[in-house]
Amino acid sequence: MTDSQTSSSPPRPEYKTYGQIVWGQFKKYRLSYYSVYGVLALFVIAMVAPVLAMNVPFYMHIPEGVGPYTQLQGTTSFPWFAALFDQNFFDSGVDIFFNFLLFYVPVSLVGWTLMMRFKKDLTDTARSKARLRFIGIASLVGIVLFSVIYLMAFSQPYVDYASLKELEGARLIFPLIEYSYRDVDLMAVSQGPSLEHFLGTDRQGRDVFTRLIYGTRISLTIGVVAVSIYTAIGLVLGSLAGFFGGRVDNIILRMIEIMMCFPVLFLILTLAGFIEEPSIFHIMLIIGLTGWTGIARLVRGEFLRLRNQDFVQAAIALGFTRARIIFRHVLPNAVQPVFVSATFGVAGAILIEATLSFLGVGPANAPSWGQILTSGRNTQQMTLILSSGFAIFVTISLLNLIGEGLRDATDPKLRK
Amino acid sequence: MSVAPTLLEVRNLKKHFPIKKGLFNRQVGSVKAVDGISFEVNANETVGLVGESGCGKTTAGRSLLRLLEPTDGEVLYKGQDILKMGPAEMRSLRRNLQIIFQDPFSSLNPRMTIESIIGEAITFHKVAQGPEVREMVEGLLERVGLQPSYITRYPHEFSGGQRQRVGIARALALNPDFIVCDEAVSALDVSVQAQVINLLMDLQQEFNLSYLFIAHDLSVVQHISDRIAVMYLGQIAEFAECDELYDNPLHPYTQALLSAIPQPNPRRRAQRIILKGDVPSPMNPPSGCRFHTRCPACFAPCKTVEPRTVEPTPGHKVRCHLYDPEFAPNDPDIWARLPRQPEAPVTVTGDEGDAPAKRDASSDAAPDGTDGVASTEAAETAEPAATSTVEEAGAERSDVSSDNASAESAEADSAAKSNA
Repeated sequence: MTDSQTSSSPPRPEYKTYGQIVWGQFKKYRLSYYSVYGVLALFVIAMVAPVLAMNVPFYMHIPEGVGPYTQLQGTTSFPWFAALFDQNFFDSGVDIFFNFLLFYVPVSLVGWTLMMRFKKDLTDTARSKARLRFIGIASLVGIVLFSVIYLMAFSQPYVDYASLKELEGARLIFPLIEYSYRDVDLMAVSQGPSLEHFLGTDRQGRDVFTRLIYGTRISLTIGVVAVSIYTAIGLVLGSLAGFFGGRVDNIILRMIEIMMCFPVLFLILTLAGFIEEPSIFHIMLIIGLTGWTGIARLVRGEFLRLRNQDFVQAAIALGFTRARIIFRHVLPNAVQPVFVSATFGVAGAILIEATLSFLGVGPANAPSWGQILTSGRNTQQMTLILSSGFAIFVTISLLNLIGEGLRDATDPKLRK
Repeated sequence: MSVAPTLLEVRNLKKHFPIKKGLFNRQVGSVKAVDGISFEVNANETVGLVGESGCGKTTAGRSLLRLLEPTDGEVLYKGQDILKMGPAEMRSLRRNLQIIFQDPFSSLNPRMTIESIIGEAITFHKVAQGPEVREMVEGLLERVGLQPSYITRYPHEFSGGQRQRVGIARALALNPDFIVCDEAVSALDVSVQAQVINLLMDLQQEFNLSYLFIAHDLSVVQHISDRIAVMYLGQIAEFAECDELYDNPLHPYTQALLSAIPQPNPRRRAQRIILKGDVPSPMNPPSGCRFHTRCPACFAPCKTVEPRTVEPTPGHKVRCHLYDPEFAPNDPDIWARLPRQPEAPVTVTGDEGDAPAKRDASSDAAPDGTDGVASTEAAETAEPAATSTVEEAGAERSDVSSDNASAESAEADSAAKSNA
């Protein structure tokens, strides 16, 4: 077959899959297209945060008989790498996850490039298929690896590396900024911007710039995970309502209506009030459990439209099971508006988290942007308010721009 | 055909759609889309199902495959009632009963390649596994006249006719006995229509298929069908062998329908029967005979008594009081109002007025067999040879004008026939 295509028949016009058409359209919305790179940059910042700011040295040499830590005397070590997976140092799974990605993403990228070196003569469609498969396998392996690392619960005793720096004959190489996002320094409380602390410190003397960088992790995670939770709930309930109709549809619609009766923010505030010490996972869960109504209605509408399409009737006539019809035939055609809605949803979730933190019911210890904002309000420091506000503004704008571009790109009436 | 065993028998099939209103979804009525139809399809036979828009053709086709759950009735496939089957049993039986849809643009999943569209059923029903599936799909594509190399493509890369061929290949994938062609060619342009119809007829020979061919295009139905059922408002008005129905339509509705076939010969002016009024609402069908509101030969019992299905000549069933010995009117005026006189009226007695002349005229045209002219002037039927094999119909509306489209389609149709 490939022979006949290459030799005898004229080259067939390259047809595009739906995804390629949407991507081609999306590229024409320049602002949205560049916003993708903006969000990628945010993601990279979140990933490389420990390289930028951490109070653990990359390299450490301490001569014999010096310093308070006897076990470190006369050793050369690389404590930074061990600290990345130290659950005593990073107490949240989110940080461990991003630290893991810091190694895993480059390794996967190198693996992909090498694979492409060996298989140069691939067509475009074959390459995109291989890429999809690679991403699937890589993320599966990644999830397994991360679970193993996380469940090993590696931890080591706390070492004050900053104090070792002052020792005679000790050589330590630190990251760019030598602070951690959670180490309290009572000697430097509520300082303004300086060369030591670019954006000053908060009331506990924590470096705000470091917290801002690590806050990227919190915001992105909350946005993505909360939206994943409510998209999953909305997809399942919307599919059931739309496909089966009748009583199922009635019950789910009433559930949606009841949920929509409550103002979402007050519902979230009430739910958050029940939790004594909310962590970011609680916040994600609360946002996820309250936000699914929009997606559910969207999916239900798509299912109602698609259920009577002939290709679904043909699938029934071919004797396929209901599960197969829902997941193979209807759902892939119904998810397209969900993507758009989810992109806006990520921005919304980030904003809700900032609001909650600002109102004092957010994750108390996490370095989230909302927390910085509220501490700025408490201490009346402009730098805190402006910096965290700017970070929130940029992230929300980028995500909304992507969402708008995606919405226009998937709408055939707005084709450019 | 008469010796062939009955493959599928439909008995008194009903599909009523409930109309619900109010706070508690009270049922306030129902749309009787299909209201008690009975017919049978023999092995290797094509039964045509024609009728106006909204008369329940499509609903009938879909509910006998249980794509819509029928309200009542029986559908016997090789003696088994498929309406009483459980889900698992039904799923395996579906291999034998397939459907081809009208709209080739919505009948293929836009997110699947041609290979998975056609091959999915093969793997699902474990007809074949692995690389065999691909070979089978390529073979099917070749059989329906597409290049086997198309299997990696997506539906949007094809034209309407090609998509319809893919739809046919999908229906054939499980090697069925019976296919419902739900307006399978109506959405295609006429030259492609002819190709697809010829393909369907070839496939029927090759795979021993039976079709229920639902259409509103009378010439297409005449070309492909062995027997034809004419539907009106959810009921079958007339059911007969193809030639018999076209030559000797009994039911006034059938006569009106056939008279609407446009004539390609401008010198031959057919007398067109224009039915008055609209199709009554199936929510609230007229009492008695459903056609009585528009029937030119309506008489007393039509308005009150529902007609029975009678068989004036063997194999020719008609649901009309005119042919029912119990009601058949003796009044010649009523028979004279009938647009076209039947060749062998069953119980007509007494003075026949000017009817014989017209009957002669139509029987002149009849021996030709393919001439579907409803009612013609005697002088003009003397020269039917020129266009005898060409007809085109647009009986969707009863007042079709012979515009450009139908003239084109007539040419294409005749071209297709000469090819065949």
